[in-house]
Amino acid sequence: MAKLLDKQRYKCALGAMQTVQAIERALPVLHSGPGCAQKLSESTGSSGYFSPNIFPCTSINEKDVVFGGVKKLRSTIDNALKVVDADLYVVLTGCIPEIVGDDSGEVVSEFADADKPVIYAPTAGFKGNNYKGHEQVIDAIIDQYLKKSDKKEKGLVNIWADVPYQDLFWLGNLRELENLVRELGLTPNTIFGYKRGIENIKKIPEAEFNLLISPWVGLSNVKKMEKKFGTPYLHLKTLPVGATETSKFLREVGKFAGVEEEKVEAVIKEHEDYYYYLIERYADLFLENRVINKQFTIVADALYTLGLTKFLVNDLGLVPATQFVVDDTPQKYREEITEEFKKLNFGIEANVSFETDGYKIHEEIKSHDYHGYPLVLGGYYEKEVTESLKGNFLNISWPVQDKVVFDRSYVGYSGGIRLIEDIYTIAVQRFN
Amino acid sequence: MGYLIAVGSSDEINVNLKFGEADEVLIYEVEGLSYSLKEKRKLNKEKDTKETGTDITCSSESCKSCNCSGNGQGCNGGSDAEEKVNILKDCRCVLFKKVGFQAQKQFEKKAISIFDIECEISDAFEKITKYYEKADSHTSLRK
Repeated sequence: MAKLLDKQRYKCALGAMQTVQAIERALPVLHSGPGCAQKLSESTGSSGYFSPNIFPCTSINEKDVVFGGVKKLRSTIDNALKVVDADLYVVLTGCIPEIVGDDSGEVVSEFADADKPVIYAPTAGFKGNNYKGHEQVIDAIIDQYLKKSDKKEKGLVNIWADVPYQDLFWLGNLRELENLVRELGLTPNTIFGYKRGIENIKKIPEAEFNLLISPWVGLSNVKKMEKKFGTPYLHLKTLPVGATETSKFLREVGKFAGVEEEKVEAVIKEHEDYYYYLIERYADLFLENRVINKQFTIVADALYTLGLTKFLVNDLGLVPATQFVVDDTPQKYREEITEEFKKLNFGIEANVSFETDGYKIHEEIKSHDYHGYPLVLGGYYEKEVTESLKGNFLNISWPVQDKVVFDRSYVGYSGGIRLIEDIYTIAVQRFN
Repeated sequence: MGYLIAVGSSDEINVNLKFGEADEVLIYEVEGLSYSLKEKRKLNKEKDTKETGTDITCSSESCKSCNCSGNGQGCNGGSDAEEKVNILKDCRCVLFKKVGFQAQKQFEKKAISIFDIECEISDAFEKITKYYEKADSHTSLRK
């Protein structure tokens, strides 16, 4: 029986073209119907050297459904190589060619001798959402572009975290994670954003270890790299937001990388001192309990819901109502992630719901007793329902409609402070 | 329910005629996966009688009458295409080596699918009949 999904929070796997776009000078070549890129590209901040409106596309039609679209794919790749100056060409397939059985991989393999690398990721919508698509693109890079390296660079750490563009804060978050890792004396390596690109991709196999900060997205990628390149990985499920989790993060990374404990503690102390100096200055605001809510709900992907729940409980001392994970987390990861929501300070446990249907989420929010005004951190979809409950709302997850984000970050000590600023800015406005 | 397919072919084996150069098309009747030649249909009835034996060029008079771009290929612009397409309006799709822009739009307007291909008629029919069979029975194209 067909099912309606209300207020979907993700896109189809072809949305992974944004993952490709986030790699500087990497070009998605779409083997899909006309309009796919246009429909998937509504996020802000996606113009630039390459933008979705100029991605080469086979624009396949009915004829290609009946007779196959491989000829068109071949000529599109061929011409993209001739006229578009890129460092990496990533062919992404949409639903149609995968349904009718076009062997896109075979066509792409014909370009193995091309001057520039051409790789292929199957990203048909029916295979999953853009979180899975993101993994497919990274997989394609590992499988088809990178080779095992005998050279290992001491202290080089590949960092994997956000899904670019799906999380509007991806750039700032990655840069902040790099900063934290750098402060431990390690060398961070990320492939997304300004001045990263192909040169950083090439360094992936030389890393000492992979650092994955995500409850589940990317886990299959780091496992694959462990198998192919022999690179061990450290999997941290929680996005470090605020002092508690960021200090934990630094200790775990430091321990895994063999960084001296004193050095790690020195870095932590310096940051925490400043962090708590700021908190102290605003302690009067926090104690003024009429401006903030007693209970909160987060509606976001697993990375944000888990990270922010820990921050709001551990650092701000709020009480969690039900938390919603809306990224269609694969069943096999759900139990482990649920356990993570029980590891909160003060013996608090958060109830988590893996729910993709916005209607059901809103019904639950409406029926819950928040013991006052609710604090809801979620997608723009939650704005109206929060307002109807006279609650405080902050738009932190897709779709983000009420703010422009360049390179802001909610990660680390400074990210925690930014988030407190944002929440309290909204809270204090209530009484102005 | 059966349907008709128009094919541009000079030898009744291959799809080898462009829509613009075809004076006559083969009309096949399809029922499920089987098909048979139903008729040969003239496309340029009037033109045949007027211009038989003459070299087809773009006369200045016809240019004025129908906004021909004057490329010397005997093109009579949109109105000509409309007329020709109208003759095939009972077909579900058409198979030609090439179909010009004007004609494409006219076919689209009538929801007639265009397959501009060059191959043997039997090969094309095998694929097209299977495609329509699945589409009509709401079966996945993957099966």
